[in-house]
Amino acid sequence: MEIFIYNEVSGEELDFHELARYLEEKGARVEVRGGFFSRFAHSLEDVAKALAKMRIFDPAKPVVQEEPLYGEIKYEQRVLAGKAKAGGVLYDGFALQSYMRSLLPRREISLDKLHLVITSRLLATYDTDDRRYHARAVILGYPAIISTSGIVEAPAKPPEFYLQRRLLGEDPLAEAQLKQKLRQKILDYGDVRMGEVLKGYALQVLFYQLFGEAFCEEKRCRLYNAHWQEELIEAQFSEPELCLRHEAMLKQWKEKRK
Amino acid sequence: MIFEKVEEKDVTQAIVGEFSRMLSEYAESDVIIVGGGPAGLTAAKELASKGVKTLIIERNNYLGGGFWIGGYLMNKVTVRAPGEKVLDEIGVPYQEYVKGLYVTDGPHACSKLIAAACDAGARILNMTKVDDVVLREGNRVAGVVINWTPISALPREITCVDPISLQARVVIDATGHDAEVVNALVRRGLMKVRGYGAMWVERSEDAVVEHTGEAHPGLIVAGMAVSTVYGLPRMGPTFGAMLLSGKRAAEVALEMLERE
Repeated sequence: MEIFIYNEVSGEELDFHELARYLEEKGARVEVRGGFFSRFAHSLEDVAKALAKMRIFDPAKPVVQEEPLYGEIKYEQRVLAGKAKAGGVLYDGFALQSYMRSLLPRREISLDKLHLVITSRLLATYDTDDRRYHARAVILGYPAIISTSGIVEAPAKPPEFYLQRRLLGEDPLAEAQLKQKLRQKILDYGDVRMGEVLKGYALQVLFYQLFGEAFCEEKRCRLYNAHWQEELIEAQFSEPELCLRHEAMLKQWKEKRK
Repeated sequence: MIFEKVEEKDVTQAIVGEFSRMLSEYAESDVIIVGGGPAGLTAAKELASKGVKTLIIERNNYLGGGFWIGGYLMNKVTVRAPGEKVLDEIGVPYQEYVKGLYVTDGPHACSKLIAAACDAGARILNMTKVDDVVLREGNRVAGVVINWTPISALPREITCVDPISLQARVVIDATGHDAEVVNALVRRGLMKVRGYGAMWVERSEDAVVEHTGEAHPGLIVAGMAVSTVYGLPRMGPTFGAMLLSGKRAAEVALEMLERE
């Protein structure tokens, strides 16, 4: 298995080589490739336009890709050129994945090749059951996408955070204090724990590609599909990192490769 | 007698003469900034201090927009880092409330920002409302059509007062959620707006600054107008994004002027 890591992160310091080293330990060959779009797209102007079409404006309505605004395309161009940071915009995750897949050359598509894109963009997928979008930390599939802002926004913060915030109203001073008080239970932008959490999501992606199984029921296993940030922190910082069953699956795969 | 003897006509001539001279000189500017709130004033300060001929158009009598007060009519305003650097530049004292969040007196910060824009050389037309835009080939915005604010408040039967036009190489819409210049383009079917989204203070400030830029050829949007145009999340009563969006708008305007 070859894993190709793409850096579509803007305004964040993340050690992709540390992530690569971790995945190599698990038995994969890993290459850090830089930007996905700069590698595969013929025109960044086309990419900017495509991204601008994926914006979600109403979480209750599936995105209908229509002509974007002049300024929306300009904004995406600035982000792609590294002149602006991505943030505050919600994109349709499946639309992004589908667009990225369309850019992958045929020779790059194989079950032995795992393309993993790490992005700062906040992604959501539309759920036909409750007919609304849900923010996502990871979009499994081909290519797989992990969203760093999704890691912060998708798993819920402790209930006390939301209850207190309702009481506080629009008070940035009090909210900042509340976040400081709860910092052991929540992940925030620029959090030093982000690199470790990223490894857990990358492992989910790898398991999905290898075994078609990304998640675990065990709360202390790194593959646990956490819906709360407190659970996510517990799953990613517990020892041993995997439950016995998943550890055995990985070991067996690693030995087969030898 | 304390004061010099001056006749009534001298006072009138001073007002009319100087206003006419200024209006005539600024019938063509490098940059027209519509809206004299924190974003517009910061942009004006930045541009005028670099020698750019800058005119602010403000529909109210007073400048400053919502920068005089914080939330709920309380006159303490907050900025998140790195917004405090603008307060440093204009010499406003502040204190760090929690890490990265600063609080200062609204009246002090607002009056200093107005003074900084004026000291830098920006000119101001207050009590003036933008009715429409001046367009050139390719529907490029090349100025604004203005009238006195009171005109729009009177019944149409008694206000048959034609507006006048001012030209500019770049126009900045810093009119807050109303996005008045943008809406002039919307009325002509030349632009669409998304309307602003739900409150999400953590990312809304970043998003407003990062989206500040050319929204239509010749037109930059800054401040909360950015939020309206792109459907970005609303933000709470924090002002760092307004100040930094004003700075970003000035940078973009300079790039556009150089490009010309």
